[in-house]
Amino acid sequence: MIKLFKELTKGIFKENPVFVIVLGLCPALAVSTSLENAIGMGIAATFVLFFSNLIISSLRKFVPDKIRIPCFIVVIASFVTIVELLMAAFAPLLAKRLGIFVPLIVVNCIIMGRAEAFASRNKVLPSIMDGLGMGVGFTLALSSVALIRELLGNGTLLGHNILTNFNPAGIMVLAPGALMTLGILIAINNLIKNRKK
Amino acid sequence: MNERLIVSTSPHIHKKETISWIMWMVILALAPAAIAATFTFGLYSLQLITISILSAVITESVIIVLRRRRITIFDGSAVLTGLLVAYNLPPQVPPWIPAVGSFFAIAIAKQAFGGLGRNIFNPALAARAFLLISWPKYMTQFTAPFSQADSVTSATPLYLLKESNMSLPEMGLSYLDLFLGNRAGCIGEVAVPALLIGAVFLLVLRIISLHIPLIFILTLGFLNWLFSGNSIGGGDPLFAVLTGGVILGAFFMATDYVTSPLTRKGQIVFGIGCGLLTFVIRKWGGYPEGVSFAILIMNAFVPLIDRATPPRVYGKIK
Amino acid sequence: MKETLKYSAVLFSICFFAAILLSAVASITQPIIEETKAEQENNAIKEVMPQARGIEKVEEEGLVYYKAKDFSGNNIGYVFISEAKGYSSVIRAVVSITPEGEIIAVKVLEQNETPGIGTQITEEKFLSRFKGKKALDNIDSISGATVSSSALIDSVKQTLKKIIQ
Repeated sequence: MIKLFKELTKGIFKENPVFVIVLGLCPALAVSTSLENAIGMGIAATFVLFFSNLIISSLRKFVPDKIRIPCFIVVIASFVTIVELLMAAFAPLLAKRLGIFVPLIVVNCIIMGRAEAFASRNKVLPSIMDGLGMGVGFTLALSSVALIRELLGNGTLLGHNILTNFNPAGIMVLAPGALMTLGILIAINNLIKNRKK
Repeated sequence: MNERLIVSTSPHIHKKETISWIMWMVILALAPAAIAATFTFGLYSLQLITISILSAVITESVIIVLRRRRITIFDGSAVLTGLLVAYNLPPQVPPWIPAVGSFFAIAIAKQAFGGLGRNIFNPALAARAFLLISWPKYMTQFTAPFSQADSVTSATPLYLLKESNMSLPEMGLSYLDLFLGNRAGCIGEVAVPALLIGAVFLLVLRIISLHIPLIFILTLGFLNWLFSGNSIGGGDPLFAVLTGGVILGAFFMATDYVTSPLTRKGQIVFGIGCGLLTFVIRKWGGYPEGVSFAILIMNAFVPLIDRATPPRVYGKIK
Repeated sequence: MKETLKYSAVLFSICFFAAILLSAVASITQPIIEETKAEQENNAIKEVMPQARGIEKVEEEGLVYYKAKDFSGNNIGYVFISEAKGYSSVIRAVVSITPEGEIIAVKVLEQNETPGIGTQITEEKFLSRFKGKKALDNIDSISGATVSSSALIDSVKQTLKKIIQ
């Protein structure tokens, strides 16, 4: 039980996919312009991670080693398509804003990475936990980048005006702002880790 | 200055001059431009310069204390960065612009890369790029010279050229106006004579060499002469060189030791690149002025240029 | 040979199940997606032509526009969507005109221009310049955001010209 819990929590801080493993940077940089986008993207990725880890882990004995990559991709792509359809139906505005980055979850390194490194080698329950933990970690990382970017670049949070009488720094919602914010957050993360040692 | 030791081989010549001495000399060389700016744009620009320097020095002190490094505040580098940040601002920006700009220059462009001698990009120019992209509304609004009281907004000559394709007489200016700084522009870039006095001072002291600035200006002038007119060779090189931040950029920012190549050959490549990119950005880019972006882009190439142009090893025959 | 057969069988069965799953999800979501799309279009039209009570879609020669009618079915104008390549994105705007071809209102639906510069095209200050203009009238672009604003102006005028014909 404790082990299962550890699989869940490691993705949030110790092995955070964005800040520590430094995977999935493309969506982390591209859709973190607003907190709403980041949370939406995080939930979509978590959904895919959860189900792809579940299926891949249960199929791990059935799928021969040599063709595992195409099999994983079919599984992942199917769930991504499902997410895409569901989002277009029930959250059309979010789907429009995330645009191409929803289908691009297929090539998100975190999902392929977890399938290859974890789900294909572990039992179903730990794999689900791993997928959930990584998904939550990804969502949290994305949200923290987005929080800073939306606040400084737009003066808003989740679309609400927070900083009035503030001249938002346009650069923060552009690409350089994303890279700077991510860099600073990784630095802070490393600082905390080094202090702990 | 550690970088120097990696590239060049012995023997080394020791000089008495220190980093700190060089920095203060450059600041001294830039002083006439500050006086000229106060004269043209009023006391407010002097206030902006002061805020900028203060912000740079305070940021530097705080970060050095946090990083537990040797105190280097008095080496003048932070003061110089602050001064240059202010020189790259339009004369009527709100006071928080230089404060934020200098903070960015020191905290992100300089200290986050490891401090003095380790920054890839010229901190003052990085700050200008940051401010220009973040707050284009303030950073592209210029005031006419000698209009302190009513601060009439006015467009820079380069903007008029780009947006309305005006000629110099249509702008109501002459070459003498451009030379003397009687035009809209950034605080420290308009007064060409004041900048040239400072440049000559640094050249005489051998703190900077002519390679980068001269090649930069010649390349830009030549390209403009060739391509910016109606026919090939019908362009106006003098206009291109006297407007925007060319003189300030070429003599004081492209020559920054840390972010420019070490060897003469490398410096020539660097100068050509700066001139070429300035021309390209002005002609086809989204902004009317390209000096600062050109220098920043070339800053990124400096490690490559240094690798391609190593100095001859002493005593080695080709 | 036997191995190849086995691999194909495994991959085929995975694809087979994936296909079943996907078609199931698609058949559920498709009608909803279409409904929301139509609703969005309607909302956009309402915004530039609030007095319209009936809307009729017209398609001719590759042009799509909407005829707006009032209570008694009189034609009160047209609504169309213009698309332009801006500085960094495709700018989609919805435009309403009177039957005489005068612009009533313009609203930007989608754009991804430079924040602070190109995004000025979504502000009322700029969009009000369109009001009352005809296809051949001159509309000023925004200085400093010339690319984005003139792209929008040109595309609105172009589409307007085509529709009048």
